[in-house]
Amino acid sequence: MVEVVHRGMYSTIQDLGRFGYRNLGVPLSGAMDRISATLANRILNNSDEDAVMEITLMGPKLRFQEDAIIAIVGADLHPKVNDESIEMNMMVSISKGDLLSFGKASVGTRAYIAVAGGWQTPLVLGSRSMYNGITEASAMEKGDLLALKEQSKNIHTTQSSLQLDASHFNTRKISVSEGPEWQQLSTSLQQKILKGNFSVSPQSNRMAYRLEGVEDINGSEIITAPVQPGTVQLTPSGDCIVLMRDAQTTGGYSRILQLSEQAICELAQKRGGANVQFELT
Amino acid sequence: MKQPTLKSFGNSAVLLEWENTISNDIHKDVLRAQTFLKDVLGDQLLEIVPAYASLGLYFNRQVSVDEVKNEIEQLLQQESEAIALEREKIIIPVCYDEVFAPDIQELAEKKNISIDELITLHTQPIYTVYFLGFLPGFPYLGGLDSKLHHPRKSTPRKKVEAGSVGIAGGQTGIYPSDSPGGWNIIGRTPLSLFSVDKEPPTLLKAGDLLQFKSISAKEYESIVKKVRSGDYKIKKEIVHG
Repeated sequence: MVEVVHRGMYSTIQDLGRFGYRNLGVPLSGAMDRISATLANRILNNSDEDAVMEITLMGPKLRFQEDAIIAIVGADLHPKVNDESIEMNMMVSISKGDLLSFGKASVGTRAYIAVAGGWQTPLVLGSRSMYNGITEASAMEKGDLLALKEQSKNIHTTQSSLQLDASHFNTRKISVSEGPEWQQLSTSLQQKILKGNFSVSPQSNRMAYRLEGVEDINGSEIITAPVQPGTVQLTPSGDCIVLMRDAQTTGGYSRILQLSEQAICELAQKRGGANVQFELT
Repeated sequence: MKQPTLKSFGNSAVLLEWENTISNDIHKDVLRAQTFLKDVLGDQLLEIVPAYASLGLYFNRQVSVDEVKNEIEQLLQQESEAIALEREKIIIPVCYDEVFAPDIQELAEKKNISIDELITLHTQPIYTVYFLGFLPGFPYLGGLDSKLHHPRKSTPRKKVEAGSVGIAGGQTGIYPSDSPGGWNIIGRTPLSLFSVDKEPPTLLKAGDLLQFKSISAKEYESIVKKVRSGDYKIKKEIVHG
């Protein structure tokens, strides 16, 4: 078991998402930065579908009550074991009684802690991804005990170290394709959106990222239609909203652009105030 | 079936769009395409999400969206025969007593009708479940009598209880879980609309037909008990069309 001594700013268990229920209004969920989460699993030779812990800006404090093997990938939250810094992007052995803690994020927003075999929180509708109203817990809380798979001491890792490019965290370009309502916008509005320097609002979360700072861009209401993670909605009042992993399954605002899978992961590493620009491909 | 327009929707989804209106005829085409495509596209199709006049098809990442778009276009053209729709009509018991209906009196006054007339207007129509969205299990229903159309409350409630039946604009709906909300609440059903312990987890699905039935507070309590113990049998019948 692993005890949550401090929950951090916002820590959840996530896998690749809850597939098969979007027609019933159940959000997909899953790791915000799937690329980092998958990399963390691959370092440990886990399956890509194994659940990881997603931690945000200020990490939790975790007391390991048994030996474990972990890997941390994503934002640099300065991980430490018993006050000694540990490496990211590689396999790390943890001994029974060790305390895993973090400093403040210096690069990026979200990091992923993989454990050999994956975190064993309950599977609900085929996924361990935490979501309010679906899983019993919607985020980790102090005192929670998290189960691990029995850890084998001799994992053979072929990829002891894997690293993401710096651009994964600092690119300003958000790669998009045309959304269903893009062609309904005037050419001048399209140009304004593509040339606009947006800044990420601090009111951004797992449901949606809000982009601010470009004036006089207005979308319209549509009769409610499917939306997905990465859909950029433009509202009549000029709000530019990028839907993220916990987004609703349908929406009523014009869907002007659609982020690539990689762009969703890169945006998920941005925090309030970061500057971004759309790049239509 | 009218032929929809096909659009790529990112790198792994295709969108089918019909005439952009809310109507039963268009929606039937959405349901027909859903039934047909689910059948023929097989495992490469991860999920299929219907809405009023469009259908979202989500594929696994190995699929080329351009190729699958062409494939769907051809499949739909071959399928000119009307696909038979089998629909379930589900009876939803609702207690309209004031204890469950904080806004019913005000709504009746504003509409200049009695509470009984309001209940009759609400229980008479057979509603269409266009699709589920907004919250897990939340049905977008069509068919509300225009005499009951009413704007949502200016100040939303912090908590609306699960099962609450409300009216907002031209729509009526049921809250599947406790949630903040601005709908005018006129009753509550003892049935559970969403439960992760059931397969499928929702009581309703797109294309279902639905009728509300007025029940007393006593019946409400008795159904709550039966639902809890698993003894409640949901009243439904098959409708062809």
